[in-house]
Amino acid sequence: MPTSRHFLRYLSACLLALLCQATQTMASEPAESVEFFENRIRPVLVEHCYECHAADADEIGGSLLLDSSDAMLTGGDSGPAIQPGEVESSPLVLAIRYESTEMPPTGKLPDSVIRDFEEWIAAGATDPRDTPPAASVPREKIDIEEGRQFWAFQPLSFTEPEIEPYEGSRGPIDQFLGQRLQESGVSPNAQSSDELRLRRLAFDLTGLPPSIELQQRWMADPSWENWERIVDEMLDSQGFAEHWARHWMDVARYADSNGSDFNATFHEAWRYRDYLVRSFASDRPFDQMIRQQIAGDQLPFETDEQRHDNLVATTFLMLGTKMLSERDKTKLELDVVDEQIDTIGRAFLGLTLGCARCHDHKFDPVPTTDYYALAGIFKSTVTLKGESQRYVSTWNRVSLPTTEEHRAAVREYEAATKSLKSDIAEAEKSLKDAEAGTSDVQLGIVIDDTQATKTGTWKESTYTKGFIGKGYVHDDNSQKGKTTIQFSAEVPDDGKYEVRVAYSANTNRASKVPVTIETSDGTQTVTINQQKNDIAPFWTTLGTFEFSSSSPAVVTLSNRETNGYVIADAVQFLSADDLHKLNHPDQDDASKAKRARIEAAQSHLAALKTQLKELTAQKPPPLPQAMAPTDRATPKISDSPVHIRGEVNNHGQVVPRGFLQVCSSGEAAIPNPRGSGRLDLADWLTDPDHPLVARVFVNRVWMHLMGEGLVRTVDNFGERGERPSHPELLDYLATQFVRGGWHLKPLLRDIVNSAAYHRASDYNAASSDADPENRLWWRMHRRRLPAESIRDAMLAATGTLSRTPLFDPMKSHGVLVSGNDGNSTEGKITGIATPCRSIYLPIVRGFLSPMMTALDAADPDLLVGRRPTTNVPGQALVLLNAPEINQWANTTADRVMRDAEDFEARLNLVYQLCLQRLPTEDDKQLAKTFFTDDRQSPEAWQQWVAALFAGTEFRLLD
Amino acid sequence: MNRYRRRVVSNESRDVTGQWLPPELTRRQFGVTGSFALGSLAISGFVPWTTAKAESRSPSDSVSDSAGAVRPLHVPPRARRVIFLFMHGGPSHVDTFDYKPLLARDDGKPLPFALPPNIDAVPKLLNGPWNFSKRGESGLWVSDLLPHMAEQADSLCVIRSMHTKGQSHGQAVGMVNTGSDNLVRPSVGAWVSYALGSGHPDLPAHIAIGPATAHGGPRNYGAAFLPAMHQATAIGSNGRFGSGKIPYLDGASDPQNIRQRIDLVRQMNELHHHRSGPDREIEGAIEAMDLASRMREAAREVFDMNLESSATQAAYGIHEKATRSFGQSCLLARRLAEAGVRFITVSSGQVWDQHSNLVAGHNKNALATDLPIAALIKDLKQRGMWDDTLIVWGGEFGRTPVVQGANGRDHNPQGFSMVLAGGAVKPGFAYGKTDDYGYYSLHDRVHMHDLHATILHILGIDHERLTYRYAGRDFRLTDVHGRVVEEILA
Repeated sequence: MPTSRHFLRYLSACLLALLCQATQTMASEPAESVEFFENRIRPVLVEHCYECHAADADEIGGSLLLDSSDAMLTGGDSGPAIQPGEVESSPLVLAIRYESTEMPPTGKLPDSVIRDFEEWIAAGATDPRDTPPAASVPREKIDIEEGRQFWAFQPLSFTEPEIEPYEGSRGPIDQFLGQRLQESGVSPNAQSSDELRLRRLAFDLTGLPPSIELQQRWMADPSWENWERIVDEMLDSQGFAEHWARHWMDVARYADSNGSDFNATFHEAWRYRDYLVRSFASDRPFDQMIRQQIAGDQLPFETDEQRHDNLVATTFLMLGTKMLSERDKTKLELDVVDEQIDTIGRAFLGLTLGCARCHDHKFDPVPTTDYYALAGIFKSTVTLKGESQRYVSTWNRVSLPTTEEHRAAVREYEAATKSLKSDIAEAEKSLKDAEAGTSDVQLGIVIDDTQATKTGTWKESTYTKGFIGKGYVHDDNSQKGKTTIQFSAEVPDDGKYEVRVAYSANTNRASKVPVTIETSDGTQTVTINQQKNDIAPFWTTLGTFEFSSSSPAVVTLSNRETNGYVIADAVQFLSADDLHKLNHPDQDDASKAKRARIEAAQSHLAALKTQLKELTAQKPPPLPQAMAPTDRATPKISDSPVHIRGEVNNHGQVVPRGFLQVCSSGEAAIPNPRGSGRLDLADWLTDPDHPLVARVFVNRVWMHLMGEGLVRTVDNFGERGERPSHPELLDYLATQFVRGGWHLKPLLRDIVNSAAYHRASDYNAASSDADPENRLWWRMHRRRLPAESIRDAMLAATGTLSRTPLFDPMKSHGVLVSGNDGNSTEGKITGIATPCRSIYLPIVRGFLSPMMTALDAADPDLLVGRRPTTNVPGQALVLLNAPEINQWANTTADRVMRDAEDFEARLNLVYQLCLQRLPTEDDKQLAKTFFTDDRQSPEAWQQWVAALFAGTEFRLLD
Repeated sequence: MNRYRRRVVSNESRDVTGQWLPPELTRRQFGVTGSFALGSLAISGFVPWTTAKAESRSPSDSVSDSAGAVRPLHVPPRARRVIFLFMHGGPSHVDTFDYKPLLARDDGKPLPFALPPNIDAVPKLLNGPWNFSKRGESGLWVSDLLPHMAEQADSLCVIRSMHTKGQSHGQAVGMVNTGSDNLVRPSVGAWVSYALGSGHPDLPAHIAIGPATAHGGPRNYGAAFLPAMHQATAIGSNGRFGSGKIPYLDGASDPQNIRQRIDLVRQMNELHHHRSGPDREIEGAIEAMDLASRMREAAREVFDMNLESSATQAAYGIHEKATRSFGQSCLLARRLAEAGVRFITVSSGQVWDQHSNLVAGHNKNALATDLPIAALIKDLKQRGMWDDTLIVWGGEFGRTPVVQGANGRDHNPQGFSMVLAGGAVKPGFAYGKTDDYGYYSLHDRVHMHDLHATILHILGIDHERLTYRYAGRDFRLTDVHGRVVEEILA
């Protein structure tokens, strides 16, 4: 450690140097001299750099010291700070120029100082500072071998439970839990009531309440045989697949729009949701689902159906929210890759890999090089492609297989449309030609702007439709007084002519445009207001003037002293004869004939347009495509450099594509990556010996059924996560899961058939004192229903819940789900009142349903492994006052009054519908006091149901 | 039991000929004959998604108890609450608070140094039409664009050397509101709510008036991974005051009916609690229902603008069409501040984005906001709230001193001004400098992270010690950055 004496010496040197600078401003020392360093370099280092880059700084920035010659040459995180003689390879120079990073952060140094540094390095970076480098900053290197000793990176170990089967135990799960309970002397709760057990099962497996018929069937025979039968029925149901798909959608941060800065519609995201529902319905092995989600596009396939699912599954990689309008596309790409790595890390590995983007992971054995080994894979993958508008990126899309008939239909439709459209264009042209005859354009003499003589700068334009010739010109509302345009004509006969000017009128035009007319009587000046026209569509009369055939008739527009755009399109000279023709077109045979031609052309055009309309009505669905990645073209596939401190332009060593060293038994780099390496990554993740993937997944499943994970931090199995409460049980379940072919349903069966799953959630003082957090599962955790289940249960109570899946929810939306002008409201589409299951409601980022949000639905901006459960007034207010919930309460009350006759039957029915049990004596007593005046009052029943909906029992699983 | 027998999907995706079809074709009962001939393609029986009329954003999770995470405070507080007047879109600093004589001199000339990347503007300097003059005793430069704020110049503390990340709105709006230009992070108000809790037992700590639905929308006042209660309760949207009420506070039924319902729910919950024994979840829900009931009562008074005198309403411009909405928002902000709400954002709506028609657009926006802001300043002083309120005025970035198109300015995160006011900061003071034309922040640069660190510091919070552990890491509002700008503190 340097002493404060050292510091004082720097300080005095600095002061001296500053003094020298002040007194000898113009002295020029040779750049290689010690004086140059002392006068120009050291003071700057002391003043601007030592605060963070000297051995006595509070915190060393980037592990870099600049307080000795050796330290500068050794460098920090970014390598050596300077390369003597090599200005452009010296990171220090790039940093003070603000080209790589921005140093010093308080403000850029003056250019003259930067030049001093350049000269100093060019001349060899003479540095007389003889202070030995302070004991080098401790840069803890991650010890991978030591990291592997951590429990989560240890191989799965399969052990049978040790204790003898005991009374009430229904298998290994109970044996493992029982062992710990016995050791701790905690006695487990008794079995819960039959009603509660069925309610628990139905919500856990299907997300829906058990129907009244099922309640009755179960209560008639609450045996284990009947239980297992009901479990199997539920696992085979559509409700099961939807509910468990929703669990994975939380992890996949599923949404139907981008949110963020540019709320682009994810038109195709629903296909991924649909893939999940079908995958859980068919109990697709989870390792296959991982392979499909990471690298489905690279997997072999035999049928279109397989190919379809393989491609759609990769939407998983695309669903994150992105800053699509980021103009620095290199940065955007790194941010997208980061989001993908972070998602994969937490979803499959339970590791927070995002931490290693900027520095070695501070807690887990994940060095930055591992992160960039993965980053190379995703940088070699096309996620974003093209722009939907200037600066705004959009994503890659991949065609999905469909039938040849479908393709043919689309082809046929497109060909037919194209041909019709070309016929229509033709017909429009014919009509225009026919109409041209009646136009006054051809009457008299017309001089177009292209024939006029211009001074100053006139801009050509076709912006405002409706003009003579191929366009018009304007003065760009600038160079006032310097721009004129002169239309010159030779009239055939001496006499009076009406003069007209053509321009497109608009409120941004000049209101007083000076026009001079050179007549045979001399020059006359008039002004015209270009904000309007006299004669549709674009003419304005200047008046009638005498012209002679011997001298040119000249009309000149100027922008002198004008207050808006000045437009010039054409000038027309009309004789008395021309005017007569113009005003009496019908008296002309030729005109009549033209009229007939026009009518014929009009009816032909109308017929074609009708045909097009009919054709459009029969448009086949567009060819299906997926929001999906592809590999980059081979030459663009490459390994990634480390981006030091995560900075876009701060490159370190290039890292071969690969995986995490700590969970790889052998070499973590991919020897010969196939394409981007995603397929290799998928294989690595699904290796049966992978220590994390199966553990993380079975732990999520356990949490959904048992209230907490065996590792309660379900998305974090690292150092900062919790340790498993029952490591042997976790490994037992994970091993069985992998051995059984990664099937979810057998795992679910094992858990819901265990005695532990059936325990009452009741409080017990002794057990609670011994294990207040219930980590031993002496009771069932009391759990909050997910938002979707609360809503679905209300709809189920009304009797109107539709079980039809909904598809393509964003079909009616354009590129943007809501405009960026801040006035847009069209994004507010929650469809919350639609009586579908909640999984089919569109998830529009930025416009989430307030009801679902209040009930703690997953925030699609984040990966949510375990939903938070909040108890806040906002939630209570929604349950009390949301109009939809009030409506559902009313419908349920009406149903109860309709379907049951007397008071007691109604009370029974309303409890079975809302709480899936019969009322207790206490409930009946409360009802008696409430329904004092009128037991037939619909309002009273509505109030009763509304209160049940808002009560704790409705939304909790006891 | 049919429900449980009905198998879904996997084997449904075939038509009668046994051919596999993509799901949307099957599920729409489309093409069952295997024929795709034109004319048979009309999709029947498919119910397109209905577009529900929007509700505004939920008040969810809005009331914290009055205790915050930071106690005791890290440093002596200089203010107890913040009113952030968010000028969304990015007002031009060189036309308001950053006087640049050379810009007037060199109007129309090329910019004498390089533009940052990704800018559309042509490097030709554009001087605005508004005159600058020295105001008040302090002589602070303010332009004619904001005459009423200019009158309050001796109360303002201008940071002229702001810079931030994000060339586009999305990123920069994220920076100013959450400290992150790309990742999902808690908003400043959520951090303050988390740190300090609410100053009112029955009202939320964090309220956003007229927040934008675009550029991240709710993310800009959201809680991200902080507990959901710290998300702002939204009043109105997109710069509009709307009904000026907390959503769902009242239902369709009359108040008597709701009180009866709350009472019935309470009795049902008691029965449940009685059966379960002690249980945090049930007790929490019971407590939340009580809080909701009390919040209804408290909010009824605080949100009732009729309790303000006509003179006060007039001072805020509520009687004039141009200033009504922003005036109502500012007045409500004062009422909320008075009641103990910690962090109130009043958004102008995304109106300050003058890529063209700078003059007309800025005049219009100034007209709508300038008078109410000045009224708020005077009102806070008059009510003795000046010393412990921090006002922050500004956009997500400034605008370029060079012209875009014929008569606009592009985004400028490289250098711009923000204004602070209140007892905590030096009055009539300007800090930092941009270059001669106002493009780049040059001297005493203040990054958005520094501003955030300073705001927290003023509230008594050390930005390096206010952390929240999420996904295995301790997060901060200022990430790994931030310097308290001591130089502007009073």
